[in-house]
Amino acid sequence: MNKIQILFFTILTICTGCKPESWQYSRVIPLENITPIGIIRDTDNLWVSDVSNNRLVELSLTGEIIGLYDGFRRPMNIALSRSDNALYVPEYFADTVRIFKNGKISTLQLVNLPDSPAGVAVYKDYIAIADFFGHRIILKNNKDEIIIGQEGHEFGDLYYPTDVAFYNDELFVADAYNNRVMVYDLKGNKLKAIGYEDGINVATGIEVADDRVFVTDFHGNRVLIYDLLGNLQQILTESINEPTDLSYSKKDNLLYIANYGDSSILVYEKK
Amino acid sequence: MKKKSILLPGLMILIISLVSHTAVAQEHAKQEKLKYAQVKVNGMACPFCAYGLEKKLKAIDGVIKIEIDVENGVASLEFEADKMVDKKTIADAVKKAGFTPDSIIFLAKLPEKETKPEF
Repeated sequence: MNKIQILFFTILTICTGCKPESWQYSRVIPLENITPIGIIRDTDNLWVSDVSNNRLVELSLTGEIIGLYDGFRRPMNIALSRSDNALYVPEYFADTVRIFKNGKISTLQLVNLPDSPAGVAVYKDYIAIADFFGHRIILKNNKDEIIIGQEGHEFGDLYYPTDVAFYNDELFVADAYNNRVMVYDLKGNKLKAIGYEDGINVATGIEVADDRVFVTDFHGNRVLIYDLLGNLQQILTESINEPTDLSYSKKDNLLYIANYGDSSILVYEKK
Repeated sequence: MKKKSILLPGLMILIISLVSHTAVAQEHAKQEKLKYAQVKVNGMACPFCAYGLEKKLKAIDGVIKIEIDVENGVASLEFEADKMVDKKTIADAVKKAGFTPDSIIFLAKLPEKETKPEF
C-alpha cells in the first residue's frame, strides 16, 4: 500500500467517524383503546402505562399486546430496574410508587410522600421520584432520602416536574412547566439547565442514554436531542403529537416515543 | 333613650342573621336538587394537569364521579345525594391543582355530552 492509499483510507476512516448522527422517523405502532403516557423498552418488549384505563400494557416490539395488568391508579412515567427486571410505576392518584416484578406488585416504602408522583428512575441503589405537586424530587438511596429542588423558576428550582433520569452519576429532571431540563448531582447540587432557550412548551418526559439527552416538548409536538453539555443536536417532529415519554434502545439504536395525542408509539432510528 | 340605642342595633343584627341564614338554607335546599356541577378551568392542557385536577376534585368529600374534558377545559362533577358541596370548596380544590376556576355552575343534570373520554 503506497502513501497515497494510506492517506485515502485514513481520511475515509476519519470522515466516517465524523459523520454526524441523525435520527430518522421509522414507523408508527398504533394503539387501540390505550392512552400511553409512560414508555419503556425492555430487552424483548415494550411496556406502556395506560393512564386512562389504570393499567400497564406489555407489547411486542411490533405492537401486539402480550399482557394487560390492571389495578394501577393513574400510572404515569414508568421506569425499569435493569438489575432485577422490576418495573417501577408511579401512581399519580394514590401517591405511591409500585414495584411490578414477576407478576407481583409491592409498594416502595418512602419517608417523604409525594403529592402525585409523575415519574420515576432507578440507578444503582438510587430511586428518584418526580413529585408533581410538591415541585421537588425525592431521591432515595437505600433507607436515606434527600429532597432536591423547590417550587420556583430560578436556576435549581422546579415547577411541576414530570420525569427523571440518571446518567453518569447525574440526575436529569424534566422540569415540565419551567420548560427545561434541570441537572443535579446525587447530593442534590444543581449543575446545569438544558433547553431553556429552545422554546420548549412543557417538558414532560426525559431519557438520557448513549451520551444524549432526549426531551419531549408536549405542546410543541417535538422531541429535542442534546449532548450532555446541553448543546442541541437535533429536533424531531415527524408524526409527533403531544409526546409524553421516550425510551432508547442502545441494542438496535431505536428511540420509542409515547405519542399521547395520537394514541400511538413512534419509532425513530439512529442512522 | 339608652334602651332604644341598645335595642335597635340588636334587632338589626337579628334580622340580618335571619336573612342570611335563610339565604344559606335556600341555597342548600336548591343544591339538594342540583347533584352536578360543571367547572370551567383556564389553562388545563397536558394530561398531568388534567389528572391532577381530577385527583384534587375527587378528594372533596361528597364527590362521587368526575369527568374531565381537556379540550374544552371543563370538569363535570357528580355529588352524593345527601352531601352539600359549596363553590368555595370546589374553587379551593381547583386552586390546589394549580388552576384558576373560571366559573362553577351547579346543575340538576349534566348537558348531553358529545364523545368525551372518561377519566
